[in-house]
Amino acid sequence: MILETAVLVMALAAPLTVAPMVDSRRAQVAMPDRSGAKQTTESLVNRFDSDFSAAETEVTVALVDSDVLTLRQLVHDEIASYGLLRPGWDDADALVPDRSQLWIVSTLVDELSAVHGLPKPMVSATGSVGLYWDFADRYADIEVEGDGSISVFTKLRSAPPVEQFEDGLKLNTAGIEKINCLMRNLLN
Amino acid sequence: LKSEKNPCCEFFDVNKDSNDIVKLLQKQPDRYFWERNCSASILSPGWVSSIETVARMIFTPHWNAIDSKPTPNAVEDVANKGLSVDRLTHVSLQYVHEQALLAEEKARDRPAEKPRRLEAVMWLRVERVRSVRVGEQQVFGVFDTALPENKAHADVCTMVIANKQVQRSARESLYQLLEP
Repeated sequence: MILETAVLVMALAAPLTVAPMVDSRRAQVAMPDRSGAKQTTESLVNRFDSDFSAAETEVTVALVDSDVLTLRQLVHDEIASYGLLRPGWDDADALVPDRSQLWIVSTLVDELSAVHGLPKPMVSATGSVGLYWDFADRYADIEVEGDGSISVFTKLRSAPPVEQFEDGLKLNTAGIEKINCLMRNLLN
Repeated sequence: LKSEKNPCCEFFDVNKDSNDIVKLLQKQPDRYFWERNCSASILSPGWVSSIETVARMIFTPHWNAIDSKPTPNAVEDVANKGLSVDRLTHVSLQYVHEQALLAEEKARDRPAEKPRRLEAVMWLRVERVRSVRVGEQQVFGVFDTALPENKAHADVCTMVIANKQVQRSARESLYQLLEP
């Protein structure tokens, strides 16, 4: 019975290599509560990658350590974990993001994922934090600098490629609307 | 040009510790000539041919565990200090692997409560890297910046003078060229 349970849990966990992201030393950055995930049994990775406008990205993942997390929560956890980086983490001059940047990026995940699909997080040795969407025919990334300013780059991977760029945005209604507008242009 | 006196070699030797070496390179009017005709290190086995493939080590946090791919910031060094790579025509895969493990050990010594792990070694084909263009201009150069401990070391640098949009576009282009 124990063996069967273990095999079942491993089979459920197999499509994703999520275990490394679930560090027992979770980041101590306070993030908004995001409970209330839905359960589905469809292929997690395919759904994660398949549709730029997928709104149903809250999928429950069974992990070897029996944690139950959503993909969205994994993204938030990864963003929060950037708060564990220390100056010099990449080379001697590497900078770290501050808590307000992490909060802004985490808020952008919630604001944008329902319309544009769940983004993936990234951090830079320059201290900026970002999000990106990467598909076969289109790409978008967002960066949040130390002063809280937001920049957006989008690219339609057509021939010739079509690019858009906007910077100096803030986390407010106008800023979110501008990001939404650039992202919608990718689809049209 | 492989002598100690070649200007490319002098440039990389003088600026080897600068985190802005790429921006300094962009101010050199002969940088495109250097890239194809001059060695960037007296230790180099020769400048980088377009038929070569180079390897890039990927560490956390520049790795997305959900889709098991690097993040775009895995190539961000191309805009500032140069993206370190190993030339596979001058080094064995075994050596790259050993160097990767040594680099992981070194990375662990750096101050971070978030552990840094070696996640992957990705390939870049030099011909494809050199073929990226903004308008008519070649965006990236690959320089043979051999080191005493690693003669196969090279750096990929953004050669075109880049504003923020061009930098983001360049990063995305290079990111797209990473092969597992």
